[in-house]
Amino acid sequence: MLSLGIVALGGIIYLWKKDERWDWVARAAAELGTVFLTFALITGSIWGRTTWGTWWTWDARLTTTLILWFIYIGYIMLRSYMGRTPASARAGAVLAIIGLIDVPIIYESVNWWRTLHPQAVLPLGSSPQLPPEMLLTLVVAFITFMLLFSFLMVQLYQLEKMQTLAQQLRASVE
Amino acid sequence: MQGLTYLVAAYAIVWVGLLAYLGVVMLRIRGVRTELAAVKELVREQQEKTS
Repeated sequence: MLSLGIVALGGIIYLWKKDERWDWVARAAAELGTVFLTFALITGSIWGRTTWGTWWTWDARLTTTLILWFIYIGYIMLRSYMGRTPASARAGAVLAIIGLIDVPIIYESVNWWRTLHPQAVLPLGSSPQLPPEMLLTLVVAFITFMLLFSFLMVQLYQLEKMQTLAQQLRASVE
Repeated sequence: MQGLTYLVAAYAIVWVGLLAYLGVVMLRIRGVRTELAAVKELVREQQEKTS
């Protein structure tokens, strides 16, 4: 969800400032978001198997998360098809902004619908619903994954930068 | 034990998957660096020809 926020923010700033560096941020975040969300869906499915006795159910939270995954895949496919052009960046930005609608839906899905998925354990404005040792584990895991995310974002941003530069240099030679 | 099996499977998938993705990203970066060096060389040769 954070990733799609970054993709949308990068897209918005790109549309505003026409600075392709923000497009690189958006592309990097989209790729990373897809990877992390794929892991979330797989491990969530494994958890569901042990807890609910099924690998998948069309629960509100799961379904909206799957929709987000399709949005990511659609974004990557669109950008790949249209190449590294300003039109591609604009189209990607629009898709990301529209896709951002899914994020609050995912977050509130456990409140809006009668779902199998557990309620939020860290509700906004309330005390945590977790034992202290679980809360500590969650915080450590969150910080660790945020560090990993940041590291991979930097690597993918550099990759996008170099790919764009290579494309521009090659175009100048041909 | 069944729950433990699933837990091990989940950890294994995430660790292997993340390491594999990290490897793929590093390979892509290396490939682009090679391509960039080659294209820069082409640009340099072209500039030498025209000058």
